[in-house]
Amino acid sequence: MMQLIIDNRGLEPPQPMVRILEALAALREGDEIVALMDREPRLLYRELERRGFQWEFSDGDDGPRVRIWREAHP
Amino acid sequence: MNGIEPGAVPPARAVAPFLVTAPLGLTIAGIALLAAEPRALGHPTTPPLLAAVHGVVLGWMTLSIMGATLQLVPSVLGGQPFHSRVHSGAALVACLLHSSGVTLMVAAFAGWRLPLLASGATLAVAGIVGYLLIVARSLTTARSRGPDLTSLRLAHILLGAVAAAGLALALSLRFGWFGVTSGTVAAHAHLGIVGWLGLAVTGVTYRLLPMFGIVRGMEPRFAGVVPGVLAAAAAGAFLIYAVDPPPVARLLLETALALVGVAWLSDAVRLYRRRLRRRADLYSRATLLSFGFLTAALLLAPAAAVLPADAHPFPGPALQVACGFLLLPGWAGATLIGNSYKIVPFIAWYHRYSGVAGTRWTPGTADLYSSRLAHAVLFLVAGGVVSGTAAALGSSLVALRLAGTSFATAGLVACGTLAGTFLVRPERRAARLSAGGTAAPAPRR
Ligand code: HEM
Repeated sequence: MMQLIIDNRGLEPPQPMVRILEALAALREGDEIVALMDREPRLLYRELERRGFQWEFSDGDDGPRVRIWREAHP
Repeated sequence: MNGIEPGAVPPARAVAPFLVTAPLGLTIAGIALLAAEPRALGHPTTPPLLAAVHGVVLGWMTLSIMGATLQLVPSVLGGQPFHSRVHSGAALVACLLHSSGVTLMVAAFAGWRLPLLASGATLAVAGIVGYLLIVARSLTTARSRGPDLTSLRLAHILLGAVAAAGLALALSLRFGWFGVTSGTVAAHAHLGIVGWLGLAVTGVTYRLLPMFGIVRGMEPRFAGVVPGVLAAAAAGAFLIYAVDPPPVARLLLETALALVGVAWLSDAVRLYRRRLRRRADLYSRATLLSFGFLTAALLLAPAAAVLPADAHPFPGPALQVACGFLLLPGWAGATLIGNSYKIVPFIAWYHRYSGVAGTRWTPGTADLYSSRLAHAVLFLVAGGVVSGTAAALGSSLVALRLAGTSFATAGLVACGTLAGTFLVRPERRAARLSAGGTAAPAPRR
């Protein structure tokens, strides 16, 4: 399993979204992206869903981050 | 997944018409000033000034805030968006009713044609009511606990109130229902400026300044109280002005309002100084200009409320007109310009390119408009505010016409550049460059 960390903090929209979407192509089943964000990327979710990915957003002590992985095939 | 609706975005056809046509309100305001006669500057309620005020506040500002609210409440504050064609169609009808109503109102004020004013006001209020019905679902279901949402909710209630008060004034002027006095006009004006514009702009700034400037780990001191105090102050000012209060009551009221403004400004300046994104750009310049205009208006406001018409060197009514320029196109206008060139290009980018982003080259938001033209809009408006203020203080018709020319031009350029974000095709230029052997340009930040 590979974990790809993308630091999107301090970037202006739509750069964070573009960087995440670009990284999706390299993601295989079992891999995940962890993107460090300045805020929740609500507008990203529609694209993730359309492209067959799942996500989990958290906003803990270490700041907002979204974890993304490929939807498991049934 | 975390339960957030993936489609938290209203369709572009529902929000773009509000945001793109809004600056035309500034253009018609400018034209009203250009046509002004020498007596126009004597008092804030002369026909050309009434026309210009409503072109700015109802045309430019209200339409922009409406579009931004339809977009931001679902996508940033977690409110439920509307998806259906019926809702999008209804939003378009509300936009059309409002803009045509405001255009008629501005023409009616400028030529003091009361039957036309009554018709224009009725159309504009119908548009506002339609918009309020559409946005109500997003505003009531949004989940943010911050001052932004509280302010927007209160501001929208007060938008309904100021529209009702404005319609009552317009119909009274036409049908003589009740005497329209300087007190009743001031009551309506305070409800609009403090209750609608003031609340919306201050509340949204608490969200957008940290978002666009990237501010981490700083809680603004007065954010918890500013929305409630501003709403109470707007309602209080409405009731007090409605009974034509003596100068001492006006002085107390305006000083209290100015203190709330100072509290908010101190928060906004602290947020601005703590921003991590420190590049000098349109947003930072617009923000600084807006702070400067607000400071000047807050200093003038108490004197404007009490000085009599024969005071020397500056009569009270002239100071009121100056305050109007500094507060409306000055503070609120500069804020709006800074935010518009962030929000509209992003909406355009999202609807045009998010579906292919990551699979092929896409432009950045800055590639969708000319930064020079956007700066021209900002500096034209700022120049118009300075010459409008000078016109009021020095009774200069030439300076007033200069302000009118600046506003009219700025509105046209803003409308063109914002519409262009949905139309320009930077990818064609990129394709030409790469066909010619040059790599596609990196998106400008
Ligand atoms: C559709 C809604 C509105 C209608 C029908 C309307 C109508 C009117 C009318 C009839 C007057 C009085 C004219 C006179 O002096 O006899 C007036 C004054 C005024 N209104 Fe409105 N208004 C509306 C919305 C607003 C809003 C939203 C604002 C501010 C944000 C506003 C700000 C003012 C101001 C400042 C004045 C005094 C004019 C001045 O001092 O130059 N109005 N309005």
